[in-house]
Amino acid sequence: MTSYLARRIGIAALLLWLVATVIFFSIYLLPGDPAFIILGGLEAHPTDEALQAVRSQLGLDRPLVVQYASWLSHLTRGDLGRSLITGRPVRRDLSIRFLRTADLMVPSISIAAILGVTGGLLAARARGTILDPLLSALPLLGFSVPVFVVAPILVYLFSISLHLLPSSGYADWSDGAAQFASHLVLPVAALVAAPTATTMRMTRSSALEQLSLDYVRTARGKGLSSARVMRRHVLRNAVLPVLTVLGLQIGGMFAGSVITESVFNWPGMNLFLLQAISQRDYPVIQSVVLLASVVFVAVNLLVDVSYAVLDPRIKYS
Amino acid sequence: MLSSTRASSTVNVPARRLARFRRRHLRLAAPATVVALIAGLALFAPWVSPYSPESIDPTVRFAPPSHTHVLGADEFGRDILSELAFGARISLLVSAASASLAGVVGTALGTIAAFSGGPMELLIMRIADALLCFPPILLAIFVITFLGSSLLNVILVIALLYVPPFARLAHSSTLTVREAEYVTASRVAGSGGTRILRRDILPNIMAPLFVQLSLALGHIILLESGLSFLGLGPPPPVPSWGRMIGQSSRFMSLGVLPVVWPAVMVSTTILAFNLLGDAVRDALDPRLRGA
Amino acid sequence: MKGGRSMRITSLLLAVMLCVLGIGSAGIVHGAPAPKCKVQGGTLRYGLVRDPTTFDPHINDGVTSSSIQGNVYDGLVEFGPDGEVAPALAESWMQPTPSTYVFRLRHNVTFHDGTPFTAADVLYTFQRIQDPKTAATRQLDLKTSVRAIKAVDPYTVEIDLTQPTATFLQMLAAREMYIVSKAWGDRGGDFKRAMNGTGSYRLASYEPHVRYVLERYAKAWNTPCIDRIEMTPINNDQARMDALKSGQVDFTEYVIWQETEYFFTHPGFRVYRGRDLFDFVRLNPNRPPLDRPQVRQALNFAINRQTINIVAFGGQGLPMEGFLTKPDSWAYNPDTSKVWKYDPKRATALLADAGLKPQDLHLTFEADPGPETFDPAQVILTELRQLGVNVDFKIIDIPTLVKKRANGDFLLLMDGKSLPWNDPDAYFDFFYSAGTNYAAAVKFKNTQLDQLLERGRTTTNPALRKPMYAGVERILYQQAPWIFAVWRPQAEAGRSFVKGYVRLPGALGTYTPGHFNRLWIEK
Repeated sequence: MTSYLARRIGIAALLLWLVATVIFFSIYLLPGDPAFIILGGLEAHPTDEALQAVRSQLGLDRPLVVQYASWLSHLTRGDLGRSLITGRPVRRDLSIRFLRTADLMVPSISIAAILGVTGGLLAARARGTILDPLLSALPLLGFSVPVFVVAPILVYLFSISLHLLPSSGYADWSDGAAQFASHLVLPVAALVAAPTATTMRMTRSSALEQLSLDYVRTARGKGLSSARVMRRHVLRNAVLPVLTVLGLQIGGMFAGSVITESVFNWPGMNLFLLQAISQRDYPVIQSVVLLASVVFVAVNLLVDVSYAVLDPRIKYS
Repeated sequence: MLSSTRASSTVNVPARRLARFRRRHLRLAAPATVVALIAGLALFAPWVSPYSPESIDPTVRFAPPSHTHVLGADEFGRDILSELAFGARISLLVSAASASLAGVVGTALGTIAAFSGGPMELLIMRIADALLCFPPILLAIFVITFLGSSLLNVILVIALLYVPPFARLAHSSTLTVREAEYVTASRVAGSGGTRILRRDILPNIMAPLFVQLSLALGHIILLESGLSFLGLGPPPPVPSWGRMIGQSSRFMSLGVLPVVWPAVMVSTTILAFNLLGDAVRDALDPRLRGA
Repeated sequence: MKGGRSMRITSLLLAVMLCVLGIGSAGIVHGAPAPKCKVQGGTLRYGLVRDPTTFDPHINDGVTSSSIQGNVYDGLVEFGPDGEVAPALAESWMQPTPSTYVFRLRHNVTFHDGTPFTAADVLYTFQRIQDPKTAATRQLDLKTSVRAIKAVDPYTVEIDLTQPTATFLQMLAAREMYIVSKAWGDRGGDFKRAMNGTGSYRLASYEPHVRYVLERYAKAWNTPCIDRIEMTPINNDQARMDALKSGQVDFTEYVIWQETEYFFTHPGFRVYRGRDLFDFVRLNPNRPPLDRPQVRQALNFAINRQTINIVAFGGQGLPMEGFLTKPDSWAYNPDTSKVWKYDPKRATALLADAGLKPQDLHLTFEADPGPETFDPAQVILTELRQLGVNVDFKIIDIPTLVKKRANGDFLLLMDGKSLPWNDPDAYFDFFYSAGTNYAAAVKFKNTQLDQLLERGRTTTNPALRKPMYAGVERILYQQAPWIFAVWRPQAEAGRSFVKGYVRLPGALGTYTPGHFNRLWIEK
């Protein structure tokens, strides 16, 4: 088991290094020049010597390989460099922005998990009843309607028309729990639809599959009530594929969160990246994409490993 | 497509068999019809409406549906029906093109990797894995920012994102099939490598790949319209549903229909493709069935 | 009576002296800085349209150069609420000769770090602006117009111009001419990431993308009424409007035209509107097929400015039927300032003159996705295509746009700008061959135009200048270096308890947020 784990982690680390290297070099292919932006704001027409001065000040005129080596060595020490535009250490700003994205993702995944699993189990139980077509159709709607459709509609309904909730922005915890929560509701609602739907579907089909298996019929035959059967046996076995699905949702949620942060002006990691791209702030771009990949890989790794742990039938080679 | 029903505890009642047959077919036929309708809309786009999707007419801005503009007009006075029809061309073109490209390239890479083994296999599969490390939309945003947003670039980027899943699938399927008896038999009989590939392996991995393809279509449309929404899709004058939503939502206080129509359109299309993908999967590979 | 006569002679002499001194003097003896505050105190929560990219007081960063730098720094002079040049760090000034200015500086002014303000700071400021390494916006302007500057004493500065310059005072009031501290600069102050000015407010704290906080400077020479300004950057237009509607902010800049109606009709809000920015398409006159003036003119006749105005700005803008002088400008000349019409037939005819059909043209048209430029761009794109021209439309982001502006790497480039001051001399920055705002980058050069612009700048009598600028416009019509499109509506809005906001007239509207010290909060 440990050797499996070690190998997986090793491969993941290697992949991430590959990813980091590709990111590093490809950023320099982006058209546009941070020196221009730093020097001139939006009305730039700086002289060549001024540009050159800024470039050497920022270390942008060193050979690419030298910059790469320097970046790697800083990275191993946990130093993500300084923003070319603001001069502030990237690590500090990135951790703040990461937490703000987490403020969105964590409630969304939790709600998706809880609602999805419960909903899926209910739907599986409801099979053959009148509710069945409704409960199998609902999730389909959930993951077919994109976030960028849900978000503007929510804003229109709850903010523009009913004035119940703020249409955008982020309120800090220190501004009051009510404020914090009210800003969170719409973005999370927009984000949560698709993963809830997928989880619900997956749970339902997984549960149904379990329900049709022999051991369930045996349990029922022995006289156990359906609820007990559900709880004891079906749930545990059905949860496995659901975990996989939840893990896979992270990828989709990244997409959702980029759009959600855009629409709601939520100062998270994604918006940080979009702004950094539009300012050619290389150190920030590199750090955010790297962090996003790390999270992505880590979550997938976690899912694989938990799969291996929870299901003794699965062989891990 | 009828698989034999295993009589569990009841007698084979013809009515029940018929119901199951109908249901199975409906599950495939309904979304297929919708997809066909959308494809029809795309194909006949120039004739669907008397207006070009580009013509700007300031006198009919936000016009409600009428006999002149069947679905109304948007914030620039452009005919919404025409925009939707031409937008359908883009969405279908992008999804078909990138899915096919990803399918062909991914399958090729995957089978080559499985067949060659050794360092080649390692290299190909590791690169595929590395690509999978990126959150897809971030990669797309990144690449489009530096390649520029155009129809071709969007197709290429999306294809790039879907090559790894196809490669992995082809790789594992090929490995599985390769071990199968009839391949060994073929080898014993003296068939060469390519022949084995063509005659024995490819036909047998087609099914899961086809399933993957049809499942991917819905996701690709979702991704393409998301990119368009963010302004990274094919630029004007080419209409695109995602961009219609993104642009028209700036004017929601003046008129909400220009957002509603493309929203309904894109959701329906994605739904139809998802259902279709499911039905294809159920039909071709009962082992992968959901419910 | 002996005493009486000598007194009369003395008074006469005194009077004569005063008259002599008065000749050529444009000095205004100043009054009190701002009227006494009706209501003191309060916090103003302000919505910014975006983060500043720099705090540098000598680089034009667009609107934030006013909303942020404008409140933290002062110039020698500033634009008063009526748009006229008014005293700021210079209490008064005189012009002993037409090309010499003597400024008397205000006493007892300190920078936010406590250093006293003296003439040395003015000299240092000019030096910094003229240094090419600063990449200051007014570097060229200052270098060409100022021959020498010297500190006569710690509170008097004498500036010698190379020639009499009609717009010199306006240049000094511009948002890229703020006075900085020599001591701070010498100590290594970071002008781009920190601010140390003499303004009514000091930068108390900031977190990029989140908040910028200005606090009233206790020792300001121009005491403000409002104590604190909390500025939040909100890029998303709808989000910014909603923030004002819901009360998250009290005042916001860049109110989109779709929402001005809302703020007009709902009680509790005030809207302030103007048309100080304009949209246009930069053409590259040195790249085929745009290297022929008839082709560029044809493009101008191919577009319908009324449509652009209605569709892109809800009819709230003003079609640009001429050039950069609007009907309310003294230099407006109906003969030369009103020449463009929507005339596709004429466009085709002009192309035929150049031996071309619309189908022969293959153009690349680039625009950034910001709505104020993207929307007009879509209309222009459609109309050019309707004419039959092949247009390849590309969406580019801001850094690419900025770079293309600077190195002239474009064929057609959509853009939006404001004029630096209420004077037709504004043409200079754009169309003078060394003009940094357009001509230099694309190597646009017309000798006759250059001469007219030089003379226009150095002549002080408006009656003489007007025909010069008519001449400028005639040449611009022949050369058609741009597609002149539309003056856009520009608005700010706020709660009605924010009082005292009076939009500066003409081209100066966007300077208004640079004077939070003229506002007060009355709840």
